[in-house]
Amino acid sequence: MEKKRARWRDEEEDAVVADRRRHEKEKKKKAKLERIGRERNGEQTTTTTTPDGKRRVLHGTVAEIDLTSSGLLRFTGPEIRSCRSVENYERLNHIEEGAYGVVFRGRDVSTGEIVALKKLKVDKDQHGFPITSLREIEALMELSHPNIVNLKEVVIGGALDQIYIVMEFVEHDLKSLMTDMREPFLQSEVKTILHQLLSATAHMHENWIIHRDLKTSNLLMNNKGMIKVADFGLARYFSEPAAPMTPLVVTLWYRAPEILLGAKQYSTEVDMWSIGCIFGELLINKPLIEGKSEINQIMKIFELLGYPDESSWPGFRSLPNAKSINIPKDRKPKTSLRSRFPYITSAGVDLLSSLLQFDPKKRITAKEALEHPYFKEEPMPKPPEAFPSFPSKAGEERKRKAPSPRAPVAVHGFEVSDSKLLGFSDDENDNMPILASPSSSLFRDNEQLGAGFQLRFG
Amino acid sequence: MNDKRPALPRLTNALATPAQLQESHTRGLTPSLISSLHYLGGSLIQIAGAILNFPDPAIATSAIIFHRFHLLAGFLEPPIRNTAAACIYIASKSCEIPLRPSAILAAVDTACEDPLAVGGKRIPRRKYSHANTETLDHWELRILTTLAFDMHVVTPYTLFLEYLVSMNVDKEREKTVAQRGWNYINDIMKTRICIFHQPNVIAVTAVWLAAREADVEMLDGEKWWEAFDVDTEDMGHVVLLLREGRDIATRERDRIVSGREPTLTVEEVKLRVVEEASLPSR
Repeated sequence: MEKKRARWRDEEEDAVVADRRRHEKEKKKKAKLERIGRERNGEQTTTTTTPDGKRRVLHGTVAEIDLTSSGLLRFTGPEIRSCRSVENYERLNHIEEGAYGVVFRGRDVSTGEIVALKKLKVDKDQHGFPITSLREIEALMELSHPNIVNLKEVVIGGALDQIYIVMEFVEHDLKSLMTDMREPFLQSEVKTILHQLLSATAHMHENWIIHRDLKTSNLLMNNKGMIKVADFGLARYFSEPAAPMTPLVVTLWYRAPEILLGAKQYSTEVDMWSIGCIFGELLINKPLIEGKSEINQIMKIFELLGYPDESSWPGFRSLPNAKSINIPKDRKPKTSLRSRFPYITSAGVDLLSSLLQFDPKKRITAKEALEHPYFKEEPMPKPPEAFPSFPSKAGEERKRKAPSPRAPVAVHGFEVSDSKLLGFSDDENDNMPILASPSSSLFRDNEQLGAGFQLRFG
Repeated sequence: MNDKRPALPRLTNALATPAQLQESHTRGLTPSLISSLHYLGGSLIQIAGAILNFPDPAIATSAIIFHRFHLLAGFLEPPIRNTAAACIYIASKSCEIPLRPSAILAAVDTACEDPLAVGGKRIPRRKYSHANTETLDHWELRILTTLAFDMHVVTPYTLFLEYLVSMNVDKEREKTVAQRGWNYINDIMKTRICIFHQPNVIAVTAVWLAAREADVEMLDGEKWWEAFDVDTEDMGHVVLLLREGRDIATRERDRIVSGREPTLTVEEVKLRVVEEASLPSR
């Protein structure tokens, strides 16, 4: 218990720092909104001088705005309210069955709007309401962005365990689209998709949320070429410096090397690695690094990118699982990104390799990537509305097969930090089935570990 | 219903509307009994949380969820001892500090024996078997759906420390103020204050109360709280409600000391309504 306390205290301090930054950021945002509001009202944007010197000292940039007659900022929160009934929606057809529940297409009875209704699984044997769903709802409520799927509300059916998340309806997911395409996306299309994905990711990261499961099957695309990031079941808030997190996140093929090597702390960079993998997949129309197990995945990463060393990734040797990796004497990469992607420009290769940097500290951020020259050179990104329209699968009653492995299922999403779980010490695991398949022995281990709802500290 | 959160989601909490408050007073319970039951629940959560070694901000999260839920659901159907446990359960998930359901139930059970900590320190009696968590799961879902799954809760602790640090009090006295103010926030969380006021108001009031108590002069009598966007009126209301909370604590303790059961079940709430009706009106 003592250990737990100590950990909390650290987090408390981190939270203080994080919160202060957040605080400042929010205030700036508010100030900006205020200015925009005033401009819209045709008022002059005057920078009022503060009558109170102290305010300027304490709040920096905010000091110049007056919001109420008393000069105080009014914080208005939302109302405390209850779920509405699912009766407000008319059920149309079944869309898919995912890891977290059944999805239906529905129509808002009052507005006629078409929505997606995701019925949540509330398993009686589990520990109450799934934490993954709680996280997803919280993250989606917090995030509002054109490239992030919009959560409208949560509604309930007649019985207490009939719970539906109402989201905007999006016609396709990128993975199924790509499976049906004979040719990869055009360069201009890749740019548009990637730029939207980066824009959504930058927004998440600005709001202190890591997605932790970015992959093509979690990227939805509507008939107007708009990308919508979905499935926030593994998302969580992060703080700086990072708090310990579970290594059991991100679908294997998109998992960053620091997670594979058992880092206890990781952050937004893991999403950027996944985006690198998605970028590669968009270019060649098949998953970039298709490992069969954790150890096989990391070996394939090294095959593609060469082996890291102390200069390219300082400190990687001290990661828990790095010790069990034999780096051959001959360190030359067997292939290079350039030779794997002969048809993209050098700016494209540069962006890809910035995303697929071993060292998380050197990996490009979403915000930086948005400004990358790749998006400013010919061929320019195609306007989303110029995308070809695809026949909607979801609109018809067709089930979608799970096209890529699922994200690993951590114990109710709680943090489990036991590197042994990853099976690194055992080379025989090379041929093991992918982590999250229910028949995998690893999966059963997880379940066992979860019994009793216990947190393990590594 | 499609409205998105306002621009300051990380600093604000959902608050009670006047209509909701009015409605909560139309369910046959007197305002003072409603306040008492909120206080009892808040106290129960704090004692159970302490037994569980749950950090204060996570306890506060549980309490805020508790107060929000009972604002909407009243006290004539949901039993406090069950909802208190379920609120801790939900907070353990949203704060990512996992707790065993059986441990939560054991802790709440122990806390129920002395919900206002009239006696001494308690030790959890026994572990529960897995089968008994059905009620917990039920109330968890009831709370989640009643609150539209909006478990976004901001506690005032970090703001409080942040405000205090920015006041530039000397280190020795800052420590005293920090401890006292922290305790004030704990007390505030037992009451309904958190569904009336935003965290910044609570944080500032805690700084003010603690500084006054520790005899620390802040910024030579200036209205420093306005720098944190809090006015004197709001602070006054918090202090008033806090005082009311202390009166409730005394009143409920007296009841228990005089041999009556604490009001923790729906049956007991109903008896209490009858009991209050027989008293001469104030």
